[in-house]
Formats: sequence, C-alpha cells, structure tokens
Amino acid sequence: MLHFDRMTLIDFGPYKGKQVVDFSDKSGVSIFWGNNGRGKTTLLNAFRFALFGVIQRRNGVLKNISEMSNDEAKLEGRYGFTVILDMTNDEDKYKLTRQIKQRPGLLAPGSDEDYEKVLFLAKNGSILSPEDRDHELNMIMPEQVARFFLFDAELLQEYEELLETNTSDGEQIKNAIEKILGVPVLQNGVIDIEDCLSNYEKQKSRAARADDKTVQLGQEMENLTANIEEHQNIVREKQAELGELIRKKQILEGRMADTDKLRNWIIQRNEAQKTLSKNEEDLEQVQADIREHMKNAWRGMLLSTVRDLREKIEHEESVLEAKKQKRNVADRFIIEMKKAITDRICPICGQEVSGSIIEHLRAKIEESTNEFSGLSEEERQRLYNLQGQMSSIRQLSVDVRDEKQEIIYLENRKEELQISIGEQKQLIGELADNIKRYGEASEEADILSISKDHSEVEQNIRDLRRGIEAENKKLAELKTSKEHVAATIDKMAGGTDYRLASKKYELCDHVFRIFEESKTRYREKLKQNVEKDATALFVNLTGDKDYVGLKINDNYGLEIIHRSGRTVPGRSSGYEHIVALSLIGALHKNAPLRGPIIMDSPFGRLDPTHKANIVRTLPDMAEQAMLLAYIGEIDDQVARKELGNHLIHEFRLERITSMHTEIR
Amino acid sequence: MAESITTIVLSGQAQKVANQMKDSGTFPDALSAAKFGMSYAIKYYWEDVDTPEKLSKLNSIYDSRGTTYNIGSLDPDNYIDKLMSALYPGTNSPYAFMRALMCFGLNKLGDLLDEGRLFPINKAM
Repeated sequence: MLHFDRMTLIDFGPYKGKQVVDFSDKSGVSIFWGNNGRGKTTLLNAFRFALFGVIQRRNGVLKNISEMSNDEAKLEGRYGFTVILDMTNDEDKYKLTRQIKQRPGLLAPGSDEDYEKVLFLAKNGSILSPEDRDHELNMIMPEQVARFFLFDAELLQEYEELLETNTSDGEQIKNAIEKILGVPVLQNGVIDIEDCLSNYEKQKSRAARADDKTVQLGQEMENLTANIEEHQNIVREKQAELGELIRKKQILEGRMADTDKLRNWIIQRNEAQKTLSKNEEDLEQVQADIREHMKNAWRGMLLSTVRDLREKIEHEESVLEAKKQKRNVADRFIIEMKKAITDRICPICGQEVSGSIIEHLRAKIEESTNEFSGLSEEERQRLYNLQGQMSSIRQLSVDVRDEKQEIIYLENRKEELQISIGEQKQLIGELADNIKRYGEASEEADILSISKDHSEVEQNIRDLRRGIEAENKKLAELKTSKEHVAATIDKMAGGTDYRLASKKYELCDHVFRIFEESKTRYREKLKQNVEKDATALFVNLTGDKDYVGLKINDNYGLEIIHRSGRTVPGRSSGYEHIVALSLIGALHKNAPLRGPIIMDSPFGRLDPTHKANIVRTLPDMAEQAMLLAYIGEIDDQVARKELGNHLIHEFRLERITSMHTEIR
Repeated sequence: MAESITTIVLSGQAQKVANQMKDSGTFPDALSAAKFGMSYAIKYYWEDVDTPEKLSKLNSIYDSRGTTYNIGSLDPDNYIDKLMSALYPGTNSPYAFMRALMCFGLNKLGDLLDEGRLFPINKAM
C-alpha cells in the first residue's frame, strides 16, 4: 500500500524557498487549512507534478509548466522549482525528485524551452534507471487511476457521466475504474489465450486438411478461420477508428467550448451594438426634445419676474383703490350728515337733531373731508396706468409654462444615455479585443463548421458502433459455423496428428473459457462489491432513511435507491458529490492498488451535517487521507470531534505575501 | 414715441457665446440662446439692469460685431415688446433694451461656459 511520508517543495507556486511537510507514517487524516489563493490546489498539484509531471487546473492541464515558479524567487534570481516526494510502498522506500531547472547559460528564462526537466527515483536508497523508474512509478501509481487518489471535489460531478451510455468521458472513467479494480490483468490474459487458441486452431485445420477424410472440411475450417480473423481484424480496425473518433470528438468538444465563448462574445458584442445604436438614437431624440423646449424656455424663466411685477403692481393698485374707496364711503357719510344739518332731522331714526349735535356733525364733516380726501389727479392717472400695465402683464403669462422640470428630466435622461453609450462603447471595445485575440483569424464559417464536424463525428461514432455490433454478430455466426465444422471433423477425422492437435486446441479452449468466464464473473463480483461498499458508505454519508442504497450499472454509474425500491431521479449536486465520494471509497476498498486520498475543496456543496458525515467516514475510505479545505469550509471543532484519534495533523497555509505561503 | 429700429446687432462677445451655446446642441439656434441670455439677466441680475439708464449705459458699452437680427423674426408676437413695456414702463426703445439684456445675459452665461458650469442648462433656468 502506498503511503506518502514527506513532501519537500522548493519555490513551487506560492511555496517560496524550501518547505518540508512531514505527513507522519501513521494512518489517519491530515487537514491543510488555507484561505482562497493560499495554494491548496497548488499543493494537490505538487503531488501530481511529482508523480506525473503535470499540473492540472480546473480548466485543463497547464501548458507552460514553468509558470509554477515562485514569483518572488524569480525576482531574487531563482528560476524553476522542485518537488521531492518521500513515500513507502509495501516495504520499499522511495524518494521521487522532480525538478524544473533553468538551463545553464540563461540569465532570465522565459518559456518552458528555457528549462530542463529532471526526474530521479531512488528505491531503498538506490537511484533507478529511467526504464525501471518509469516502470516502478507506473506500478506505484498509474496516471490513469490518479483521479481516484488526487482529486478536486469540485469536479466530482464528472462521475455523473457514468449514468449515461456511450459518452466519451464516461468511457474514460469506466476504463479508469476497471484499471484500478485490476480488470485489465484478466482482460490481457483473455487476449493472450485467444492468440494461443487461434494458433492451435490453425494447427487443427492443417491436420484436418492432411487427413484424406476431412481434407475438404479442413479447407472449409481454414477458410472460416481466415474469415473470422478477417472480421476480427475489421473489429479491431473499427475499434481503433472508434478510439480515434472519440479523441477527435473530445478535441472538437474542446474547440466547441472555446467557440461557445467566442460565440457568446459575438452575441454580447452584437447586443451591445444594438443597445448602443438604440441609445444613440434615443440621445438624438432627447437632444432634439431639449432644443425644442429651449426654443421657448426663456419665456418660462420670466414667469417669476412677471409674477413679482404683477404682485407689486397689484399692491400699488390696491392701495390706490382702497384710498379711492374710502373717499367714496366718506362722501356718502358727509352727504348724510350735511342733510341732517340742513333738515335738522336724523336720516336714520327720523328724530329731531339738537344744536349741540349739529355742531358735532359739522366738526365730523370737516374731519372726514380732510382724512378721506380721495385720489389726487396724479394718483388717479397712476391708477389708470397701473390698470393698463396689469392687463399687459397678464398677457405675458398666458400660454407660457416653466420648462425647467421638463429640461431637468431630459437632461437627466441625456446623462443616463451618455453614460450608457460610454459603457457600451467600452464593452464593445473589450469584446472586439477578445474576439480578435481569441478568435484569431477564425471566420464565422469555421466556427459553424466545428459544430457541424462534431455532429458528423458523433454520427460516425454511432455508425461505427453499429458496424462493430454487426461485425461481432457476424463473428458469432462464423464461430458457430466453425464449431459445427469442427464437430464434424472431430467425428470423421481419425489421424493421430489431428487428434493431438484437437486435444491441444480443446485444452486451450477450456483455459480460454475459464479466463473469459473468470473475467465476466470477476467484473460482476467487483461490481457487486463496489455496489455493496458504496451503499454502506452512502448510507453513512447521507443519514437519510429514505435512501436505502445505491444501484450500479454496467458503466459503474450509481443510482440512488429509495426505500420504495425505485431509483431517485434528478439528484442534487450535493448528492452527486456524496455518490461520487461513495464510489471512490468503494473503489479503494476493492482495488488491488491501494493508496492515499488527497481531496481539494472536499465540502464545497454540502451542508454541515453531510460535511460532518464525510469527515467521520473518511478514515474508512483510505488508510491515509489529506483534506485541503478553506477556513470555514468545515468547522474545525466538528472536524476534530468527528475524526478523534484519526486526526494526525493539522497544517495551516499562512500568507506571508500575496506570492508567498508558508506551510505551518 | 415708438422705437423705429427694425434690426438689432449683438456684441461680438455675446454672439460668440450664443454660437457656442447653439453648438453645444442644447439650443436650436443662436437667437434662442440670446433670448435665454435676456431672461437669465432679468431673472438673476435684475439689480444690474432694472432701469432704462443702466440699460442705455450697457448698450453704449457693447460693440456691434455680432449677427444682425430682424425684429420681425425676433419678436413675431410682440412678447418682448410687451415685456419691456411691463419691466420698463414708458419705454419707447424696448428692442434696444432687449439687446442690452441679451448681451449682458450672454456675457454672464459665457463666464459659466468658460468655467464648465453652464451645463446642465437647467441649473441656469
């Protein structure tokens, strides 16, 4: 069983300088706590780099591996990086050193060409030859099965492909599963024995042909064998072609994904151009509206002045009017008083007026005449003028409106449109740059041809699969015919050579059938075991009593079984995560190849209960497990409580600078 | 006695401002800008232009290098005539006063324009 003992990083990614991580030789779980950007995924990649020389990013494999050099180290004149992995496999000690080293004579290397790759593997203290090194590495950890040991839990949804039939991703994962489970050992055995069987069959046919009684049947047998071989070759060719097409389809899918981005940019740019045109059109209209309103805005601006003027005139007018009115009232009073003096009788009560009252009235008449003298001739003219002026001023307000509110609205709208136009122009510029840079010289026709090519490849894959099926059917028919001919020859032929050849063939055929049957049974048994173990893990992980197990399909895809017996459709991404982890755990239990699990972002999509369940279950999934979690992804108290003695060590990825992390 | 002039000429400076206001796209023409200038002077600088004497003095300051405008097209409904009569009762030179107000107001707006504070125009309304 593989166990990682120690890792030494030198200037790898954010891990500046030499940093050594001791994993301990104990079984259990280590947790690396680190915030975003501190280098959790880089740490996972350090294992990948050491073992396979690749750096896997979420969007694919890193093309320029030298980019992993620590930036601060480069500024200090150190280029390149090293990862040393100390590990134990069964009783053997290994020290794997992989280095990206600056080529001699270069001061500041740039691309990968300026670096050389160095790889050593020491086994029990002795450095192995390149051939032995590659062989040993492939035995310890074949790259094809690495996905079950080193994985980014954010990408576990890829296991959903196993529920589909005939998807290229699904086939790749299925092959990897069979590889980790050891199925290829039997598969290779079957192929080798089939070759032997074919040789013995030829010997048998030759012997039959040499026998007078069966010469014709022997010939027929040989023809059938040749025919079968021919069809087998066709099947092999078609399978190779299928593999080639599946690869081509993957490339096209990659290009389609790229093109999708390009297409999205084109759509966005077109949308932005449409919005820009609309905004420009609207702006033009708003400007025209502003101009239209500004034509007479000057009149509205005068409304307050006109009002003030009117109020002023009204006031002066009212003062003069009041003066005039008082005089009128006083006149009526004076006339009445004069009449009372003349008639000596009160005009109101009709009683006689005494001499003293007459004197009093005379005084009053004089007083009123002085006090309410009325308008002077100048005032009278002024009042007249004011009244005329008032009439003109009133006309100044007729049909005049204050345009200010409308202009405020229009100018605000104008500003909004100008901002939007600026934004759209900027967006169009950025998108045009992206399209130009990313799309290079690709024509729209090329972009469309990718999707057409993809459809054609898919159709060819379907045709090929049908062709292979038809060939296999034909092969089965030919084999049946051959069996009949062979049976007839067996009855008729009596020569020693034939009997001997026949016995050898029969023996080999028995061995072949044993292997074939073993392979089928082994695969079936493995599937049952994987289903059983995955179910046990799943039940532990979910804790939901409604979900009683998992059901495996031919592709090793797992479906959740409800206690009613039916499968659960449309499971959530959280459950996809749990099912994938259950599958990985079950594969580890059933694989001849055992090793550590190193999991990046293990809890991303899960609720606290499921997080706790996973932590608790982790020690059962692998002898050595490492979790790379951000702080808060799971409560550290929960992790410690659930893991108990299984928690070996907690490491912290501490920020020194944005380009320097220390493992503590 | 009523004024007998049939045209007015803005000062060179006032005309320049009116043209700039028109070129900004906010005013349909320089004449609308000039009328806006007149209203701006009345509304915000009344103390400087509240008597015929002040206006006469201003008129004597301004040159005549601007565009010539026909009174008929400038005040087709005699609104300005009535306005001047209301503001300056008894005047018999309403369009001369109007010209002084336009030049004065445009010069003030020109100051705002130079400082980049003329737009949005609603702030000056």
